[in-house]
Amino acid sequence: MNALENEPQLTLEACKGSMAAFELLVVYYEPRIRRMLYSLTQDSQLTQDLCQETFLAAYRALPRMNGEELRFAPWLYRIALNQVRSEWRRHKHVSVIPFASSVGHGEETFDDAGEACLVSGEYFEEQVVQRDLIERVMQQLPPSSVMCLMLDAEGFSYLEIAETLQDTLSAVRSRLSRARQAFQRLYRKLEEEGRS
Amino acid sequence: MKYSDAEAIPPCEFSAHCVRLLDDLDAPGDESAHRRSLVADARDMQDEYLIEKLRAHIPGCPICSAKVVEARLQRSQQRLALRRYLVEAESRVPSTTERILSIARQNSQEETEQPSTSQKRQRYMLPEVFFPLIQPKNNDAAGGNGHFDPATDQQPPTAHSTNLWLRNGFALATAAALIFAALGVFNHFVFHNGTTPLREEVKSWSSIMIGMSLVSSIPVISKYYNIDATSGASEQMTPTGLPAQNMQYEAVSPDGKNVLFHFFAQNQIIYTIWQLGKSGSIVTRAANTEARNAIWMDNDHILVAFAHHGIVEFDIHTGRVVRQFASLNNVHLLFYHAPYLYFQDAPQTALYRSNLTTDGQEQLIAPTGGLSLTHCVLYPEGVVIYCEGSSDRFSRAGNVLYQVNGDGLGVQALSRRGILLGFAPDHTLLFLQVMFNNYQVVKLGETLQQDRVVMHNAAPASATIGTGDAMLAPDGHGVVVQVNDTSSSLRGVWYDDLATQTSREVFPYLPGLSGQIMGWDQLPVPASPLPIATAA
Repeated sequence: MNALENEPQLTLEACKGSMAAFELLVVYYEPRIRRMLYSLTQDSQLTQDLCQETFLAAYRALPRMNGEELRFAPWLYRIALNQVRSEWRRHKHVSVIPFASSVGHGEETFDDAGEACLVSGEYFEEQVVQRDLIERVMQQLPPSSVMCLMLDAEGFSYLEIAETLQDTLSAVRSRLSRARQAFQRLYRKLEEEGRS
Repeated sequence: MKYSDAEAIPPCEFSAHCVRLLDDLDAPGDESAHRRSLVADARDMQDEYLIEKLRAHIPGCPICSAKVVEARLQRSQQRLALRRYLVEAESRVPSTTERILSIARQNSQEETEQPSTSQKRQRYMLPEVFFPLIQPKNNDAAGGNGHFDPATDQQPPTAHSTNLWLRNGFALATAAALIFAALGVFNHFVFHNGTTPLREEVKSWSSIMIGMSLVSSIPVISKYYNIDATSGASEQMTPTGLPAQNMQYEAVSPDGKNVLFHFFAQNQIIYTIWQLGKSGSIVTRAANTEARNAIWMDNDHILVAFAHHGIVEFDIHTGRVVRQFASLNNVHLLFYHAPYLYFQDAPQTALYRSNLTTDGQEQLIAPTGGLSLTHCVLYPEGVVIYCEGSSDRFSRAGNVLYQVNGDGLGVQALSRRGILLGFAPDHTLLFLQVMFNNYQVVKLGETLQQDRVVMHNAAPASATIGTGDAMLAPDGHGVVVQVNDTSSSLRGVWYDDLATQTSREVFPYLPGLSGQIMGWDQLPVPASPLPIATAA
């Protein structure tokens, strides 16, 4: 991942209690963590809460971490993903994941609030359609696959994904490869259904 | 985002690896060297070897070359689409930066403004230390120790209680240290080298359900008992309005408070939900030749397998069909972990899973050498499954243990024999193994040498324990073991407290009766102990 230029130094200082260093890390990573969380929850309010919890958990833990060895980005993303997992467990997310029965029935409608955020222009409609397709694809993929795809899209290397997900390189390779294929398959299927 | 038709390209034996290892093949040389220095296991090493082989193979293979080009295109299209999505997602949620920094600055300021040592001591006596006004969201995970790494621990305390937690945790830790030092026991704990108790919390999964039947060629359970595993108190379960004589146990709900049974009536099988002391409620019914088995999805939904109508999800409160998966006929359901349903084929030889979202199905374990899978457990996060592979050839030494990743990869037979129990509170696998004629509860290590014995004598030495005769409490505090061998004088249910490493019989079986452990539950058992069960 394209990390902050002087991230190791900032991490070290943040571990030693530097508020200024922590602030720089927050300013850089907050938007990234926020969008990652939203892609997993698709809930604006929940995303804000989890994002705040993520950074405050990191803030509390930093003084206990070895600043010279800590790789901040994978560590921070791991905290964020743990927050999401905990939230899913608390609210039995298992029962509310949309199921295959909804695919292709054209029941979903665009989120008006979301549309307002998009830039207007000649690609507006195409972008809205694509965003909707991606959301529906991600709803049907296993959460671990979505996490892999998102970390990959954020520019994380295999090593960083493995570190974030606490898995082996080999497992990450396989999972990401399968996630890409599943994504392609689902995307194409939904796209074709949308045309017909 | 447009995709071309990748399926049109004919296969080469390396094509799948080209796609899987695409990112590594495209990685610059220095990154590859760095990656090689960090390989963690044999599979990683195999992949490194394969990458080198593919680098030489691809230029001369038109099929793989085309696959790689195709996969690169697909990857770049996906990344582009997902990056756009992420950027757009960022704009859909207001920034929290100011909120975060405001709280962090406030904490930082309070820390720097902390008074002198004598003043601190006074602050430790603030009422909030002993009567916290704000509780963390999750008491279990927070545990009050204040020493978690949020990247590994799942549920840190809330932001709202940050100040109190830091201060209270520090205060309590200091107070505890002072007390230990004063009592002269500090060294004892520092240098103590004994076995660490697995759990010391209040046991919520305290009861165990058993079924009793007359010893005969066709044992039919005639009574169910709920037993408090620690006190031995027991209560016969008598469902109001349901035919107790032919009730068949299916499973306890994830929250341990409802029991799923079925019974037969007028050529039908009827699924019911039941709690102690309450009327049973019927969820659904079917022809008794149709139904196979049922499991809980969550506390409100069950899945029932049918011979010819696939698998059906029911809402237990309304009996309404939520979904039906018609393609999965005549299977034996094991467990569900979103979005996957794990099951076995009818002869119960192989393990499969199906993604209930995408309807994809795959085989995870297919034992060879005439083994059949008799029992499987799923790691709490769903990432690993362990199974027992059994054979008539195996005797008291126990079954072969298998491990497979939740994604279906990494199938391996562990070099262990035994009976799967479940997971300790730290999520490591516990199993029962026979060693020197004793049954030991063992914690699975990375290697055989790293396995750790948690308890040495988990069952009477003369007993013969099989799969289904031992069950770990879901919260890991203890194991119940059943001695059902008619030749044994120690027949009954034994409870092993893993924290104290003590074992005692809590429910002896009368001669002529046979027992069957159903599962742990959280249904309360009245304090007054009842005597030995009878089947009449």
